[in-house]
Amino acid sequence: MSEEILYMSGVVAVGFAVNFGLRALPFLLFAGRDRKLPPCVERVAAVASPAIIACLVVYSYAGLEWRTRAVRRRGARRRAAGRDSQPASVHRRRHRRLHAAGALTACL
Amino acid sequence: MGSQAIGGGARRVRRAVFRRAFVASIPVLMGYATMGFVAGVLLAAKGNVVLAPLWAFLSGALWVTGTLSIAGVPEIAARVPLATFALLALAVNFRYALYGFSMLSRWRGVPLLRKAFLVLALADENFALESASPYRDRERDLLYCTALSALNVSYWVLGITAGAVFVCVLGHLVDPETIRRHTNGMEFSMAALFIVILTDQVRERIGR
Repeated sequence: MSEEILYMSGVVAVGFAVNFGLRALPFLLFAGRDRKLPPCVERVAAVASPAIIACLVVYSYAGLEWRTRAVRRRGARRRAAGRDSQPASVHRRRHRRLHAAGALTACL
Repeated sequence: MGSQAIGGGARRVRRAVFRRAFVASIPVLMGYATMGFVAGVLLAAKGNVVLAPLWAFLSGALWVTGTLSIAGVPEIAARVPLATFALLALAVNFRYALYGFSMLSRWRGVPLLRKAFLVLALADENFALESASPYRDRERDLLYCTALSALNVSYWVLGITAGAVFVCVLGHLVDPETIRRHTNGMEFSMAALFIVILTDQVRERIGR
């Protein structure tokens, strides 16, 4: 139980640090400067936001459960027969998506 | 007497600004209460954590992001390393880094704590409402932004905590596996949220 509390505290702290850091980034980068923002920064700010959300739409659709109950049951039977290991495959798929979203974000 | 009149005037202005912010935040109340509730239900039913309402409250108040609160649930359930969770947070919330650029000049010279709160609450809906602020006067504009931020954050925190408490209370009456089965498909709310935000942003760009 204490390990779980420690893990969740870590998750909340990491989430807070990343979120707050990202939101505060422009204020830290341009702190105390009165001059206008460079045009390239303005252009990136205008284009990147919808582009990132479009990536997120793809990302979230990839994680949805599309299969019907019958197909899920067939999959469960396959797993029971030892032909497929769901946790490993789900983990691999999720990580591939996560890395793809990270790479896309980095490219943007 | 004179200072009382000035104080009363300032209070009237504050009340008017707050009322306007509240009216503007009503659509966000509808969205945040529902989405927050779903995020809380997901965390408690599928996050596989103890003291779910506490984590729901803390994550709601400190993250102020629906995306991570919903997208992070499977990762929390799988107990991924914190570095992987940080990468997920970075990937799904990178857009927040861009919102601040529009607020740089508007929030220049704001006291540090107030600025920190405004920055913390700079989520999609807040950004949309604050960038369309009806006030040109700096004082009223700041008051409007602060009131909006406080209202929207409170809606989100209330929604997510209520969702987690709901599942915990229901968990004593119903088998947790049944709750988990009946919450299948709620993940769709994240895709719906993204589509709505994307549509808004594309419409805004076309209308510009």
